[in-house]
Amino acid sequence: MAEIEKHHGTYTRLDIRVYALSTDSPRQSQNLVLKLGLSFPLLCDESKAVIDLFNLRNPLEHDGIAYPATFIVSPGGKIRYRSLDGTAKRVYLTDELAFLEQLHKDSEHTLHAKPKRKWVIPSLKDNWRISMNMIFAGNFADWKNLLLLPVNYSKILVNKIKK
Amino acid sequence: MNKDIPDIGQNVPNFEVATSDNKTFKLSDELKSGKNIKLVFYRGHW
Repeated sequence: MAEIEKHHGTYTRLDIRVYALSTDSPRQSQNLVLKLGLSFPLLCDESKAVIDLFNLRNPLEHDGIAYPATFIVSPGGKIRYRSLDGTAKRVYLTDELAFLEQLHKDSEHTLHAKPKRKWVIPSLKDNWRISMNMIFAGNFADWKNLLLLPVNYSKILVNKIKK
Repeated sequence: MNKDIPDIGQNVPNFEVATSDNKTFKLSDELKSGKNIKLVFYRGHW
């Protein structure tokens, strides 16, 4: 989110409206907006209806949150760009921005983004951030998931190995 | 991961959700703005 905010000027210049969706409540989302000083609103899919509509629910994590994903949609409603991150994969924003520059010149331009890194263990900093968010923005259910973290990680690992 | 995730060239499914500033977001209305829209699914406070 913070990285998207950093490129806010670019999105404005290229005439892109940015929306980010999670299963957080409006209260939790507003906390994040204020904390990161976001200039775009967050969408709150508490019922998980939208992540199910897009088939993005990851049942292994926290009773089902979305796989990280990005879609660029043209005004006609056609999907022009899609990037899907695995649980521990990331597609860098630089590729997406390059695509958007192209799209700005040619509205028919399309691209499938490929994740560049294969396997990322969340850093100490990430884990610290997650813990802090749980304390200040989470609810009781979050603690259950924190305790289950090792179980979830092993499930993901076993899944990877099976593949 | 599920193979039925909407793909490039397909029409985006329409939906309606609440926003962090307590409004209602309707994708079909946003598309009427005539702008490209970037829709990010993120993990939330995790």
